Amino acid sequence: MLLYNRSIVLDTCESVIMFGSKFIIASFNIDTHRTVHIIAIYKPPSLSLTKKLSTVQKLILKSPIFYLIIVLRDFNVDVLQKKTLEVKHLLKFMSINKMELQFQETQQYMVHNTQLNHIWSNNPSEQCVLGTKEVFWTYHKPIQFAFKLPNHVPRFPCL
Amino acid sequence: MSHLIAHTQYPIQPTTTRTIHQSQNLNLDFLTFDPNGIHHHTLIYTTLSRVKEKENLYLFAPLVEANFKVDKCVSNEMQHLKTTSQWQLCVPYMQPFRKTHTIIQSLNTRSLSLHFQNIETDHNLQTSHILCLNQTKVKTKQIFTSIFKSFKIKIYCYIQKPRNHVIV
Repeated sequence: MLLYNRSIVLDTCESVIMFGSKFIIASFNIDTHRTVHIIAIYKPPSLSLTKKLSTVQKLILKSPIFYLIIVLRDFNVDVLQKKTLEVKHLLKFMSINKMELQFQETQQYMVHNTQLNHIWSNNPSEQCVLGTKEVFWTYHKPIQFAFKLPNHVPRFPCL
Repeated sequence: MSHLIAHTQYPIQPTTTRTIHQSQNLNLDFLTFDPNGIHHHTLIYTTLSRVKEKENLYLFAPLVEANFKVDKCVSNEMQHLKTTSQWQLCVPYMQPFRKTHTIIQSLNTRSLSLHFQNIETDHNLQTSHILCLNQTKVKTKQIFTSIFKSFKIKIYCYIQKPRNHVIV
């Protein structure tokens, strides 16, 4: 499920089945001429990543070019283990598609010295903030990605 | 000469009983339990976790929340987590970014429909512009929609099942 604040406008949304689960892919108009496309995927540990990379590539090619964010949450691929075959495949694949890993090896973003949550973006900005948080009602940690586009002031979600 | 003999037969008689302390580290196929009069809050958990399948658990009284005697420290801590600590720890952390950045949060939850109240009280999650929630146990659409309608956070729109499906 995807919740979005009423201060931003939903452009398109689609669903896709991958890794045995259904995911929502959505685009939001954050101002009159700029769209942010978000793909959030979860991969269970039992399934292989390498076989599904072609599917991810098709999703990337279908996406608008301006600002694409791929959220790989609980992805069960530890990008700190760079010698493993799966990580090598992922890094090579993302570099071919001009996606950059945001904030590698920051302490705030690691969980027990692993980095299973990654966020990839095709428009890396120095004004990104990334981190994990604690919630008391689930053992998963929410991950947060805050970005600032040039000349854009978002409307704060009123509580 | 005739004799009249009366005999009362109860259909079921308890043959063995066991205290909760004695039943620790046992795995039981069947369990009959009376939750009334349990004074210590940890004993209920110890008892209920002995039986292998919940279908084989028989109770003398329903397990409603009021029957559980929760330690006051636990109640206070839960209340603290739901209200004060979130405001003190989380919201100031978000403060520098919330007026200048677009915020996306993503969370994996089990049985999402059971956690709407938690999301409702979690001010930290509510500061995001976009909130991606994955659920591992999906309820039917009707139940889900009715729960969401009673959801008090009206600042969010939600997408559960998009009409378009991409085949990749």
